[in-house]
Amino acid sequence: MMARFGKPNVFKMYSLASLPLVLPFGLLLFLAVWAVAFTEVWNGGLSWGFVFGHLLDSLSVAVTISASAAMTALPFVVTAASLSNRWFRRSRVLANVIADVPQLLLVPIGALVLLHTGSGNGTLFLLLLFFNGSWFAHHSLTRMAATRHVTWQALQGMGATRWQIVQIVYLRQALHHTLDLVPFMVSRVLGQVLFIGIFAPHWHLAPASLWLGWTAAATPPPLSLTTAELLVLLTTSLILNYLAYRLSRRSWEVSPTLGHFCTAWSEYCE
Amino acid sequence: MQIETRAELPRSEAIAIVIAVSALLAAAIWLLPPAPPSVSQHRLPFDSAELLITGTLTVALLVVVAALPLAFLSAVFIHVLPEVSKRRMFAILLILAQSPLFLWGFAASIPLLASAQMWPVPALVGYFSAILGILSFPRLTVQILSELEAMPEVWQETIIGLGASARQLYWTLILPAARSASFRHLFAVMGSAMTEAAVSLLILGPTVTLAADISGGLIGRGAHQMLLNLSTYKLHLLFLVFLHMLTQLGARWRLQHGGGRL
Repeated sequence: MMARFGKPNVFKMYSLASLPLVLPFGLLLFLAVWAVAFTEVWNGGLSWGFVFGHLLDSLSVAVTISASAAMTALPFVVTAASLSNRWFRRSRVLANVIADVPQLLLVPIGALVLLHTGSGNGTLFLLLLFFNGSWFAHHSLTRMAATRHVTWQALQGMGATRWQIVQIVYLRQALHHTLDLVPFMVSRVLGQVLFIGIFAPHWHLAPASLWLGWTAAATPPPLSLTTAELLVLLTTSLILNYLAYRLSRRSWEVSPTLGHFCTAWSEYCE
Repeated sequence: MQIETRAELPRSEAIAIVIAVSALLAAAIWLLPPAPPSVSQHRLPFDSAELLITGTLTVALLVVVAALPLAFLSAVFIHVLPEVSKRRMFAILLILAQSPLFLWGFAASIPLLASAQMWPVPALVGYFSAILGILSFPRLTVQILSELEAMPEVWQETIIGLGASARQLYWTLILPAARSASFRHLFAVMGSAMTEAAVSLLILGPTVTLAADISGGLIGRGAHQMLLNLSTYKLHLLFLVFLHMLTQLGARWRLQHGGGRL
């Protein structure tokens, strides 16, 4: 756009655009590394086997939960897509509102389920399914909304019934979204599992045990090891997200404009 | 079935859905079993209620103060980049926004953990509000940027065709659009800051927000003990549900009426 006003200075534009991103996150990282170096708690006590063991365990937990949540939400997504416009929009708003519920407010629901079932791991699994399933449904329905009027009109014009449209378009779209969204959901679940580790360490989820050192922060010794682990986790989470981005890029390449690219991730795409 | 190009739910229905979900959350909290007298000491006492509620609202406001300029500037600067550069920057933004930001929050809290002396409460609140703001802004940026990208191309073409300079294009189109998009999505950022500030504050000891107080009471408990303790925080939780509902309602309200689409 700015090319209209002469040759743009891309380097300057890049610098301006990246400064608001690089400065704050760079500052956070600098503070962490500086504090560790200053207090000399970094003693090189990083056990790679320990960290990667944890990471692999965490990843397997996150992948399982993400895949299960996507599969659980899939029928809701396909059913919502097959409904009339009005009910489609209502389902979309419902999925959005549930996905926006903060994790802290889900703790009482978990407590109630735990009270009636007595199964800690079952409760945890159910909560994560519910919470991430709604996230998946929200994003899948948002993407469907972006193309809904075109697909319905085109297929209806060709004489397809509602069930045929669902079979031909929406079921496939939802499955496609599963492939796209599950990689991002993995890193999301990783964060949640860490969160659960703070509130309910007795569940002993693999990544959660890393937090035990942090939650007993009054005593410096656990900091030396867990800081190193934290930095490894930070890097790994970014690499994971980059991989997720590469994996899910396929769907964005259908339409090469950034408008579609943004639309796929926007809350309000209409 | 007639398909409409513009598919927006009437505001009243969206509000009804928000209220229904909040009522369900409140009912779940209300249904928690009563705490036995031995652990029911930790009610929301009136003398500390003011501090907790003020702390929660202060953190939420400060988060907005920290997140808004960052999100606004990054969205505007990324929007005016050439197409290829824009895609690259958006990818970085997306990778940051979707990463587990708790990890960054804890990385940033290392200076406090490693510090030998306790920080004063105002300094703690300011520091963690800044961190929460930094963690919140990539998601806000994605929202603002997506609204900027959704602007019809014809508007820019018209303004340029009328002979506007780059600066006039900024002032008449891009900045107003970014401003209304920012305020439309601010409520959601405030809401999550109110309820999730706990994660950053809980490790510090002094509990100055409702969420941090709850976290402090639950941390490290076994399943049974956690359940009993949770019952003593009913009022805290109900208040947080109420705040969450208000911010959600605010977000829906502004979506329809706040500044409008250009």
